[in-house]
Amino acid sequence: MTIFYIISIITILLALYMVLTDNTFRSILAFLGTVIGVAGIYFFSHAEFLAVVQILIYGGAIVTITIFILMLTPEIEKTELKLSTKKIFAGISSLLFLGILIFTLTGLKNKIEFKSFTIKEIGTKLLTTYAVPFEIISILLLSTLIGAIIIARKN
Amino acid sequence: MYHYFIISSILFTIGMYGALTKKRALQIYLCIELMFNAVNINFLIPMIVEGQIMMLFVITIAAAEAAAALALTLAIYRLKKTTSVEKITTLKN
Repeated sequence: MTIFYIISIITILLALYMVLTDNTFRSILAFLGTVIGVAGIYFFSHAEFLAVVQILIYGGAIVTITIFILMLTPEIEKTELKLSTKKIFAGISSLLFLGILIFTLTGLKNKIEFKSFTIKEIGTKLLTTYAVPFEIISILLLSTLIGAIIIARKN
Repeated sequence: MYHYFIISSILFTIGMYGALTKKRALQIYLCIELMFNAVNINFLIPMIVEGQIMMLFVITIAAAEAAAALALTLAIYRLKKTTSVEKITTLKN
């Protein structure tokens, strides 16, 4: 359980750094750390397949594309770190929202019993019971691919 | 069990704060991805196969969203030469 707490604290600290820093590249790197920390939480909860998928898709694909876009859209002006009323109000509302969430969710105190699922179980369920959502997801991916190409090309 | 809820709530709130205060479109997009991750942790708790299948679907949709959002960012940058959300005010006037 100690490892779980350490992973969680590192993840939350990295997420805080990602939000509070003004350097976008450092923000992306902190996001990479956060994603790997969440994958560690998955590993700890015996969801090994999901952890590997998380590292592959988030850590591999999404972070790489984000760095590409950061290089393609350079921002000339610097944004300075200052305390504006917008930030104060955003902080207050976020803290209130966090309070409501924790107050609501910690009322449930059941014990969690860990179960590990093999890839075979997940794949069988995915291609028998949930075959229709699977196909819809693949159509969504295809249409997003075509749409992204059409939006991003010149003219 | 409530450890998971607390971690996911904290991550979601951090992501929400970032999405409300950040200026560049890329940073807002990163914060939204953080919120996706935070919600995804909650699907672990029932410890059933359906939860993990749901997480797979959410990750797939996040990947699709990445392609669409970044293509839009590139297109807006070509038009306006900036991606700061405070300077893109075409709909205001």
